[in-house]
Amino acid sequence: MDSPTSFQFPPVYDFPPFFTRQPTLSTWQDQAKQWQTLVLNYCRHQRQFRLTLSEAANSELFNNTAIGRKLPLAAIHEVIQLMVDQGRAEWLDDKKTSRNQCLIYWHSPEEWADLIYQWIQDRALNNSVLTLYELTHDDLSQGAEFHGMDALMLRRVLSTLVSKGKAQVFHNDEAANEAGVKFF
Amino acid sequence: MGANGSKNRITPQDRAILDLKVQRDRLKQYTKRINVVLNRETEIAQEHLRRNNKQQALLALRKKKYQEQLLVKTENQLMNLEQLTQTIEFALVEKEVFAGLAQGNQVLKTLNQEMSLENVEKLMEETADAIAYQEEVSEMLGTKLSSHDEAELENELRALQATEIGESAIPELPSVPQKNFPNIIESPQPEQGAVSDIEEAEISPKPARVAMPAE
Repeated sequence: MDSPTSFQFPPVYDFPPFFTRQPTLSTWQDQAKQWQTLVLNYCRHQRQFRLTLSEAANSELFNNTAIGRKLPLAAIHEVIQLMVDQGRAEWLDDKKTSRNQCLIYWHSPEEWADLIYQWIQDRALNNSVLTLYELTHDDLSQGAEFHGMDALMLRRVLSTLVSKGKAQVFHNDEAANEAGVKFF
Repeated sequence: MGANGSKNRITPQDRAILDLKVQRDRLKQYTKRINVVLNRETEIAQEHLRRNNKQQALLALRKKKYQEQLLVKTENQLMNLEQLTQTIEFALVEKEVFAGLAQGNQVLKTLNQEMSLENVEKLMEETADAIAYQEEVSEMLGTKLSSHDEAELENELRALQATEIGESAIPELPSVPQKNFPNIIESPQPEQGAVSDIEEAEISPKPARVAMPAE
């Protein structure tokens, strides 16, 4: 990860009860909503596309060392599950019991798709072949918001463009993980 | 394999370009790796120097040198790859331009066939004929009276004038009045005009006189 520049936490982050799962349903719903917003904003700021819950539980996101409080892993799990339900996250592990990794969509795949497609059009890169590596990890896209995007997330995003007929992803036989994409 | 959608718009050229670009990506990643090793070897050499281990430091520097040579080679290869990719892409553009030109040429040909030289010549001849005919017609319409007719007309007019004069002798004109008129002729108007002229003449030199010393 990039060296974390200071993220402006919301005031509620310094409020100790925020780190305890509230038993009252309506209170918890409200609390969970605030946590979701915080997770999305934090990941967007840190340009973090993938979250490993066991690691994140000890990071500043869920662990406020200043007030000595941290959100329990089970609660984190619940928050992420709510985000998954709303299409703002995606579990990366198939087994329900061991879910630990997820993609965080601070832009939905459709929004990302639009962003990338617009970026391609601005540079008149339609109809030319780009490798996926080139698109997200090379100097070409330096400074673009999707620079450094998780490879799996990129696949998801591109597949929405493919289904709209705006792009085609392909690879040569011997290099399945070194795919290319052509935008139309 | 299997990644192709139902409507495949990927040409063999695209695949060739992809191959080249994948190769380029690998080289780029390789240069990154070498750079990391380079930095590490420099650090190692510094560490050994600090511990007065000259031999080890030299070894590290030698390794670093070797990596640097690799880096230069890799970068050259990268250059070649990128040039080749760009050449292919440019050739594709050229191909499209050629196709466009060929199509335009075809259209022009069919258009030209529709108007063969013979037809054009015939058409132009016909047009010229029509123009000549038209000129003839307008000439006939414009000069329907010949010069002979014109002279006859003149004569007729003169005869007509003569009879007119003959028939109506000059009527008596009123006699010139003899009576003396009051002195209206010496009206003050022209005098007034003269006075104003003089006034102007008097006024106008003044500013000139004033202006002279100013220069």
